[in-house]
Amino acid sequence: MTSALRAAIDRAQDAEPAGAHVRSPLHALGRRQLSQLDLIGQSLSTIAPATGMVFIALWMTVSAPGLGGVLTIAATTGVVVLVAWCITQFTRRLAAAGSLYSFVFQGLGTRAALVTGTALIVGYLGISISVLAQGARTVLDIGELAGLHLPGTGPWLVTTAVLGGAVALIAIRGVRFATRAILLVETCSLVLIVATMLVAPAGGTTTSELPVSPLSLLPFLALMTVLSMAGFESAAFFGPEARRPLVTVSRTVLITPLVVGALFVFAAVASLTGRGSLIIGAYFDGVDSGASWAVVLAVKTGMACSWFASTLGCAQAGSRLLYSMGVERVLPSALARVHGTLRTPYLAVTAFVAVSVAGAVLYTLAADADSSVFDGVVEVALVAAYTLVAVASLRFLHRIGEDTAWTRVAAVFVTLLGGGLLVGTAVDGITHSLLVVPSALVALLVSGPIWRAVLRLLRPQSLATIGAFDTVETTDLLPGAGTLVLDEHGRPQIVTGGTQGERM
Amino acid sequence: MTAHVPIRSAETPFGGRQPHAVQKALGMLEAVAQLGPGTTAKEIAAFAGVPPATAYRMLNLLVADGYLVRVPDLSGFALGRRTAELAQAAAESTPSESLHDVMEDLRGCTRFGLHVASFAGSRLRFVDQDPDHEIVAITTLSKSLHANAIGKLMLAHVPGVGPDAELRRLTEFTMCERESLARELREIVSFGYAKECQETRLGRAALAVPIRDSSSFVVGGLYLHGSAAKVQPDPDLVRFLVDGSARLTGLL
Repeated sequence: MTSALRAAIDRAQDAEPAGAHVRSPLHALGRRQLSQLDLIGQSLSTIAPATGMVFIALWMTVSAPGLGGVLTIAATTGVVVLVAWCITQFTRRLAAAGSLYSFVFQGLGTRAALVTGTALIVGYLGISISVLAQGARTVLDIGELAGLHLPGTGPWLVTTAVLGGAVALIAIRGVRFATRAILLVETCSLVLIVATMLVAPAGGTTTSELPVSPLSLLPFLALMTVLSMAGFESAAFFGPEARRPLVTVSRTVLITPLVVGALFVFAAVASLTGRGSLIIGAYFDGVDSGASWAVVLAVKTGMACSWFASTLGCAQAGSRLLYSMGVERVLPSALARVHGTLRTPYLAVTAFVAVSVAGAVLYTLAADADSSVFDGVVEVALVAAYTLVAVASLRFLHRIGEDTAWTRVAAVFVTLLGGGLLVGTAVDGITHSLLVVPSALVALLVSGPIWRAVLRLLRPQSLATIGAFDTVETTDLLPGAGTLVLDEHGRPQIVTGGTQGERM
Repeated sequence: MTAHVPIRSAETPFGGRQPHAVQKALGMLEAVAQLGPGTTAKEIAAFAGVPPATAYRMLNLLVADGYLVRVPDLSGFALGRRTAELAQAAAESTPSESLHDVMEDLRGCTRFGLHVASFAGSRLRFVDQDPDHEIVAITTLSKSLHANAIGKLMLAHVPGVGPDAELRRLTEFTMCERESLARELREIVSFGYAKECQETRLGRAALAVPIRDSSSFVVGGLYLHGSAAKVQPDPDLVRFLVDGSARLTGLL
C-alpha cells in the first residue's frame, strides 16, 4: 500500500467524528432490502412476459408474418437491450427512486426531466390501467368457468376495485414481500405458458380475430414488442432500496430484456409451427375453441396471475416515481410520506392505485372499442422516455468525462432510432387521420416547459431540489478524507477539511 | 448510499486476473488519496496508468462496494469508509507471509546459528535452517533427544514423547541418568529454555526456547548454537531467544 493512501487511512483512525450528519434525500425509504432476485422479480412482473407471449402468439398466428415477424421481434429485442445499456450508464453511477426521470435530469436538466416524468407517469399508469382491466375480465372468465355467471358492469367494477385494493395492500405491506410474491406468481404463469406451447400439437389454426391496427404489420409488431417489454427498466426505481444497488440494478436492467426477448422469440417460433393456437384459443375463446375445460382454466389462471403481477409491478414502480417527485416538491409533498415501520411510500402507492382503478373503469366503459389508440399513446410515451434517456446518457457521460466510443455510438443509435420511430408514428397517425397519437406526442413535449413554468410560479424552491438521488452520506466517507457540507442552496458538497497541509 | 457489508471472498468483481486487477484498484485508490476529493475519472486513470474504459468500469465497482464515493455532482470521487478496511487487511496478512522473514531478521541480530524445528506429529524436524551456520550431524539431534537442547525441549513440552529406553552416550558430557534428565526436563518447563553443552558434539553448545501456536500450545522450538565457549545461558541471550520465539507465535 502506498504512502498517500496509508496516510489517508491513518488519518481516518484519528479523525474526529463529523459534526453535522448529511443524509441522502431518500433516506426515509427502507434501505438495503432488495436482493438481486427481488429486483429481477420486480422487472419481470412489471413486464408480465406471459401475457406478452400470448399476444405475440396471437399476432404471429393470425397475421402470419412468417420468419420476418420472428426477426422483427429479435431485432427489437436487440434495440431494447441497447436502450438498457444506455440506462445502465446511469444505474452504475447513481441510485434514484425516480429512475429515468432522475437520470434525464442529470444529463438534460429540468425541462427534459419533467417531460420524462410525464412520459413515465402516462406510460406506467397506462400499462397499469390496461392490465388491471384485463385482469378483472380474466378473473370474471375464471368465475364463469367455475359456474359463477356474473353479467353486467357491477361485478366487474367490484372485481377491479378488489384487485386494485389487493395490489395497494401488498405494495404497502413491503417491497420485498411484494417482489418475492410476484416473482413466484410470474414464474408459475411462465412455466404454464411455455409448457402449453411445447405440448400443443403443431399445425393448429385459430378463429380468433385481431383488433384493427393503424400501422402496417412489421412496424406494429416492433412497437408491440416494445410495449410488451415496457417496464424492463423498472428495477431502476428501487436503487435506494436495493443491496449493492449500483451493481444489482444495472445487472437486472441488462438481463431482463435479454430473458424476455428470448421468451418472445420462443413464442413467435412456436406460433410459426402452429403450436400457439391452443393457448390463443384457450385464452381468447375459452372452451368454445375446443380446448378442454382444464386447459382453459389453467391458461386463464396463469394469465390472471400475470395481469395481477403486472399491476403490482406498475404500482410499485409508479409509486416510487411519485415519491421522488414528492420529495422534490415537484408534486405535493404528501406523496413523499413513508410508513413508519414498513418504510414504503404508502400515500404514493394509494394515489397511483386509485388512479389506476378509476382509469381501468373509464377504459372499459369508454375506450374498450378502441384500445389501439390507448396503446398507441402509451407506446409513444414510453418510446419518448427511452429516447430521452439515451440523449441524456450522451450528455451526462460527457459532463462527467467518462464517455467512451461505445457509449457514444449506442446513445446516438438509440436516439436516432427512437426519434425516427416517434416521428414515423406521428406521421402514420396523421395520414390515417388518427390525431390522438400525434397530439399526445405534442402534449408530452410541451408538458415539460409548462410544468416548469408552473413550478417557477408556485414553488420556485422545488426547481433547486429536482433531480433528487441517493447522494453520498457523511457515514459513507472515509473520515478525514473530506467533509460533506450543504451549500447555500442546500445541495451537498464535499470539501477538503483541515488536511491540506499533509497532502503533497 | 453504499452497503457496509463484509468483504466476501466468493465475489470476484474484477474478473480473472485478480492480483493485477487488485493492483490497479489500489493504484486508483492511491490516486484519489493523492489528488484529493473531487478527482475525476480521467485524472485517476491517467495517474494510475490504467486505460480509461477499464478505469471507469473499476471505479464504478469500487463505488458500488463503498471503497470510493462519488461527489454529489457525480463528476468526481472521494475515499469511501471501507477503504479503512484495507489497513486492517494489510495488518492481518503481513505475518502469515513469513516465518522465514522473521528468522532472517533474527539472524541479522546474532552471530550464532539460529534454526526452527517443528514438533508436529511428535517428530523433531527442522523447518527453517540457518544457511550460514550448518548443524553438523543434524540427524543425530532427532535420534538422541536426550542429548541436545531442542530434543530436551521437545521431551519437556510434548506429552507422549519420552526418551529412548537406553540413553546413548555421545560425548563424555551426555546426560545418561534418568533421574537427572527428569529433573532437567522439569527445569526446562519452569525456566522456559533448554540448554546443551557439548552433550552431542564436543565444542558445541546450544540453547532452545519453545515456539507456541495461537492457543499457546508448544508446536516447535527456536534453536541457537555456537561454540561452547561463547554460548552460555546468560540473561541477554535468553531474552533475545524468548522475544524472537514470541514473534514466531502462530507462524509454525
